[in-house]
Amino acid sequence: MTTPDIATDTNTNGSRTAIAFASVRKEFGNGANATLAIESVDLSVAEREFVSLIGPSGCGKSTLLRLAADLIEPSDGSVLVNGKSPRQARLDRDYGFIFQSPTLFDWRTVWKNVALPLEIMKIGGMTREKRDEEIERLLGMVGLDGFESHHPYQLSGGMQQRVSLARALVFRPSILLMDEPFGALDEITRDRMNLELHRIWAETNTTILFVTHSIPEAVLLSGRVVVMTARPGRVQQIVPIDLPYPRTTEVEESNRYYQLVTEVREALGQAMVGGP
Amino acid sequence: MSSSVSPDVSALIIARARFWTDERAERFRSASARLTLILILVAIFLGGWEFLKWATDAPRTTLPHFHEVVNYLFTTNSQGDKVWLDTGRNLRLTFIEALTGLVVAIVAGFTTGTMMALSRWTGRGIMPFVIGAQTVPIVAIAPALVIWLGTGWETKALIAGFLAFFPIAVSTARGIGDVSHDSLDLMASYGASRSEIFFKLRLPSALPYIFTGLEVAAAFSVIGAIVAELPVGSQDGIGVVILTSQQYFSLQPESLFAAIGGACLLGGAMVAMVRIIQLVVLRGHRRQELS
Repeated sequence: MTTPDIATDTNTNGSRTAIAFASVRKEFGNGANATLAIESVDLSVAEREFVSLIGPSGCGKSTLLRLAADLIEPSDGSVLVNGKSPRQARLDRDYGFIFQSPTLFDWRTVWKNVALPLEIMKIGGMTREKRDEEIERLLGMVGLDGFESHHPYQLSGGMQQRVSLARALVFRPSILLMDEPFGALDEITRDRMNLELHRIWAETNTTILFVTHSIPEAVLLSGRVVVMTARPGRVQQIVPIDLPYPRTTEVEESNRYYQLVTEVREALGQAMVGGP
Repeated sequence: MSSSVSPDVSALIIARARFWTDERAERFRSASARLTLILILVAIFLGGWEFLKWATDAPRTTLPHFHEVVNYLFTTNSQGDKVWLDTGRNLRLTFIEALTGLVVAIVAGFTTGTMMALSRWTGRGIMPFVIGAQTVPIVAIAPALVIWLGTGWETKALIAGFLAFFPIAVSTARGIGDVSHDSLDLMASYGASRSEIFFKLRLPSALPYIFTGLEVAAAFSVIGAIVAELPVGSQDGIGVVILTSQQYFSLQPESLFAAIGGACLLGGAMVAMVRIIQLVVLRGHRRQELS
């Protein structure tokens, strides 16, 4: 199944492929109790692209993300991350994973939470000063200056998710896998976090594969929105988002934005009815 | 003159003000509130004691006055020792037994609990033994252990440890095993080794659970040591004092109350010791502690 040309496959923009799913199938459990989560998914995400996965609950969006992260293995088909097996990519620290819950360690301060991946990875050639500088820079980037010695339970949900974002960026992965990162936040915080994530994405040149339930969020942030069908999850339609960059509040108020939201909503409606 | 003095004074006032930060003041308030509460509870206890004595018109040989018990501590016993000194000496021995037992229980309980949580098969194998050990009536088996192993303090420490083992093992198993899926996935995404997952995730997140078990275990260790001292053959320890006091209750009822009071203080001291260690170790764990 694994063909080398998937790894070097280039898309229309001529950039390299960061994540490639080829005829991926994933079944959970075995025998009569097996559930088919996703089936024949083909999808490739180009380097520095922002792609959102959207679909009804249980459509296997998170499953796709976890496959790319090597947290689970495909039953069939192949997944390539930066041209490597997901396992190799995981060991090479090619991606940062962000969960819906911030998953911070309460006994650690904000600073030490962000330092956690570096402690484990023992990245060569990184002096203590450089490491501290990097943590400081990232905390500044996510707007948490002055909260270094706070503990997670002293922060709001939005701030906790910022810490989690800084922690995922601290080892400079080329890919961010985000599993409904703002799903638990209130609308106002979510809007602000969306714009900030967009800014960070532009600043850090990362590839983002983003799972969400929110159509406006997907349209605002993405270069492409992948609409998936209900269980078993398949790719129903890919909606290219041709909104201008940078995505700001003005973009959110444009007519084109509303047209695209409607387009994704219709595609989702079809996905709910049945498959392609 | 005044111009040279006032900056000093104002600096002092500022320093004062800085010392009394909101946080410090809050801590002081809560500490003094707690102290007041303790004093009120002691007053209620003593009032209840004296009221009971007054209401039932109990003679000294049934229920002595509280001050009679206190006075008794300062009398001299048949060996020519001050009673409080003799009680203290016995308490010290029981404390050493309980503490040794507790330390043994911590090592054994932590190891067992960790194995129960991390290895499914070892865990299932050990579980029946842990539960079985807990259902052994310690009061019944203590005399047998004393006969088998002798009347030395080590035997009593072992029995104290036996009793303290269970809460530690169970709370460790709960704590080490109770880690969210996301946290484990997060560690996996960093390519963390098993030992890194243990020391950076499982152990710190288990500590609040373990300390809860430890508090119970501290109290149990004192009870275990006292029960172990009860069988005939023991010479010293607060358990022996309780036993002898029972025999002389009609002659000297103060003696039993003094011994029971001493045992309670010892148990309280053990639990307080664990609490203090917990406060230091769990400085960053506020949320779990509160919930």
